[in-house]
Amino acid sequence: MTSPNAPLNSPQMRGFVGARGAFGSRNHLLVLNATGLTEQIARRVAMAVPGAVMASFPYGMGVLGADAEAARRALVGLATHPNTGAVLLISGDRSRLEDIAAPLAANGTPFEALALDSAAHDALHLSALGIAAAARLRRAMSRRDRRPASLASLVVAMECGLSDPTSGIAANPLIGAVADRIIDAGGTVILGETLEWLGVEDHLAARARTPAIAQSIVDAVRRREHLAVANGIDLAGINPNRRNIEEGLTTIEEKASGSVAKSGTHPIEGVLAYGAPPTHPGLWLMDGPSYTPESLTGLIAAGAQVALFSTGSGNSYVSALCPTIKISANAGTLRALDTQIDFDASALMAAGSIASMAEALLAEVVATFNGALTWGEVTGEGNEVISRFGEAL
Amino acid sequence: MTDVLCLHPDDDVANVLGPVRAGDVLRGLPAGGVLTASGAAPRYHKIALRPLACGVPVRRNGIVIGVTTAAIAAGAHVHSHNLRSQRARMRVQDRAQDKDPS
Repeated sequence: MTSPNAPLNSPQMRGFVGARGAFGSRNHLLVLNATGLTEQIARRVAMAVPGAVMASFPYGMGVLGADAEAARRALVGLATHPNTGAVLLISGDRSRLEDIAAPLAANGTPFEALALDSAAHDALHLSALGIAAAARLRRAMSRRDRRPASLASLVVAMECGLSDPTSGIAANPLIGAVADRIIDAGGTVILGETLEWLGVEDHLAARARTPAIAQSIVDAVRRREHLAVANGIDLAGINPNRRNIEEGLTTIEEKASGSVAKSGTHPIEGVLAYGAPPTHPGLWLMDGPSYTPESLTGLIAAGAQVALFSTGSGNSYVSALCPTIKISANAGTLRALDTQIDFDASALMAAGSIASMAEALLAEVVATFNGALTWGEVTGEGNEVISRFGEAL
Repeated sequence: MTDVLCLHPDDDVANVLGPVRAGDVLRGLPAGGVLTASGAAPRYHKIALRPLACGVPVRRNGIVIGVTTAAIAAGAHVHSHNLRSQRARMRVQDRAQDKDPS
């Protein structure tokens, strides 16, 4: 830690060493399923090997163009993620395996690859082969250990789900203050959910590093807006959704103005495609869907090792691969969901200091990075949902 | 007595920190003083800090969050019944006009 803004007692961070200087906050065996034919086999294998996590793209060879590219980016991003200690790849056919195996081999991550086609399309036989392979990988990767890391090695995903007015007033500005601290220390922050920039895109564009980046922010928002208009959709009831509206959020502009507070104050380095990794540290936007499971997987595939996730009403969803810290400033939600919300920001609704609470949340990020479990990890709510962007052949 | 949370001195609306009934006295206004609630509003919802005409932009935290669809009294609940988004509405409005015999 070399930043002048670093706390006096620099946090001691230790991460699992990954490729290209990346550090993992976890050391997971990832069962990565690449086709719809094999999802149940992958699920069977993941359930049979304690500690395995599963991610799946349950579609086929007819996925086209930009949709196929996004799926490949997401699959490769999860496979080569620093939290992935080893990968068991499962697919119906060998060609899809080769697509992912090449970058895995380059990355140096231990992996085995199994195709249903190579097991005479016998699902139970492939399941048995998969369990044995997963067991081998699980034992081998357990030798991976933690080494000293720093805030500069952090990539943090910023997400919100089932927001209410407390999200925009307190929890999201708190996350923004932590984003600023992480970037001050040389780290990386990614914010997605393009539709939730709508109404404040000019404010975001004004923070872009270059005019071209500013234009790409505005273009991304306009594209989503046109998508809604072209489909005859009134956003009221969809985003904000009915629950957001019941809790007091009226319009997308209002919701977005609270949502982007998660980005803090730093300049924006660029707009990433779904699942694409940032090329250097700082604050990045990702052009992606707003639905939490799809959005979060895009941010995790880009390399985030910790996610900060604010909620108003409560939202049980977390990433399987990346510890997801749930933050709420709604005192009622904190009381009701005491095995879901990891961090209590409710004091900010009664004149608490964002700066001092940001220190506490940053400490929570470091503790979680180092291995402290989130409620989502304890309760096993984690999943990955890779988005789809078009029709298949 | 209920507090409101006003995020920016130019704002037209503020969030109430507890449930509000008509006649409740609200404090925490940017200009000081108090405001009397002219109707009920649930906890964390918005109330108007000043009278707002129909069809005018509404600011919260210094950002336009929509346009009024009715005249709103100071101290009244501001939500979907009197405030709507200005964005992603073109086709929806077209459809509404198509159905309107006038």
